[in-house]
Amino acid sequence: MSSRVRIALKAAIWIASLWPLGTLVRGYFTDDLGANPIDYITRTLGLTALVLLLSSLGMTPLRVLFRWSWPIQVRRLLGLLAFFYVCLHFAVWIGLDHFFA
Amino acid sequence: MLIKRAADRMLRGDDIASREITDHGVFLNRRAFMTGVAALALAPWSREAEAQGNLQPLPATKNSAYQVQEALTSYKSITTYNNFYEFGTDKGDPAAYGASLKTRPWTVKVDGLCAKPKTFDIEEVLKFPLEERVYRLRCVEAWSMVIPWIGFPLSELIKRVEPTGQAKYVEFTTLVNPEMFPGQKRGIFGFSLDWPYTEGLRLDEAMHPLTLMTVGLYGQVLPNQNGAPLRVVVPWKYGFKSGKSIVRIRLTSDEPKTSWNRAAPSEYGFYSNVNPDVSHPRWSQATERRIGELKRRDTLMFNGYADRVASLYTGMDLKKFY
Repeated sequence: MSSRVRIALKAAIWIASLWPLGTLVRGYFTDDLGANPIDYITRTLGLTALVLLLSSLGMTPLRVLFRWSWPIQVRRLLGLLAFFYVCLHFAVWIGLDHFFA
Repeated sequence: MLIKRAADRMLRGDDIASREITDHGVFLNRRAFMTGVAALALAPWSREAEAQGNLQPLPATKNSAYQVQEALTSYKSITTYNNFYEFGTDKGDPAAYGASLKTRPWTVKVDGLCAKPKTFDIEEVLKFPLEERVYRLRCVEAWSMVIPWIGFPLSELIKRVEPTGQAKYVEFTTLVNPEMFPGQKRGIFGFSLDWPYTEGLRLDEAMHPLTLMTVGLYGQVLPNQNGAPLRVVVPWKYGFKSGKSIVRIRLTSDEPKTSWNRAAPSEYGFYSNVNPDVSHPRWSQATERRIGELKRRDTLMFNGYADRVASLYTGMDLKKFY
């Protein structure tokens, strides 16, 4: 894979992964997070974390099955983004949902 | 002459500096404001419901014995944040797909162990003397609302069919119709309940004055997403005990099988009374989030109705009969 394609692929992953966070930030300012915003934020962050985690775990099987090399080059990025969302999810659950009480 | 002229000027108000005179526009604004304040004080919710403005008004007498000191949840939240799996499992699904439910013609069959079984037309049900009551609603998922319902005691309806001595329980059945309830279509993925949705109460719970046969909220007919055209509201139990869009009420001698109990017996018992001391296996029930508030509230025993209903359960182990 040429470095140009690799950069494009990584850029696409960055944009797609940060999109859910962006919609939450936007929703906060436009008051568009529904009747139970804390629950909505927690679930959105958790779901995104799960999707990213499964994506990162899916990269090695892709390489093995199809003998592609590019999945390995984005595996760490997907894993780190998953970790980022897990941290946010946990922080919101502890901070907003429980210690605010 | 001079005195008279001066008096004339005073009558015309010439002696008042123009800056002290209220501008006519401001005067009208003040009147409009005061009218608004008065209307708000008289009917704090009818205005908001009007603003939503698409459902028929439903006249009802306010019952002052059933009020709550806490602020009402907004009409928007009550009608857009719903658990009504017949429309889908997402909180927004009932509002999104509610229009597919047709509430006319509608009948509710009241039968089972009674002397005079009868099928009521919905128009007949609406002729019962309607009252407005403000109740807390506590969802088993640990969120809550305060809702001005319109209805009449379920006991009034049950008395009409004259239950026999063998009747010990009441079973409520929700309509099955996948054309009207998209959530009842079998999907390949995803969890769903077994239809029809059935719920049940002990006869003494069903006859309790708090148990409301409900046909409206916020001064209007019941929106589809809230269980139109008629539903039960049992305010001291978790929300799922209050069956929606009911087509049959059956008096039985045995404890009815209920939908959530069949789906997960260890999580949802037949009684499902609101109880901060009995946790759900996967979360605590000690606190709740009131929709529209940031901080959690303490959950009250029997959702704050202990003084009225605790006597129904004397001698019962509420940890066992959850």
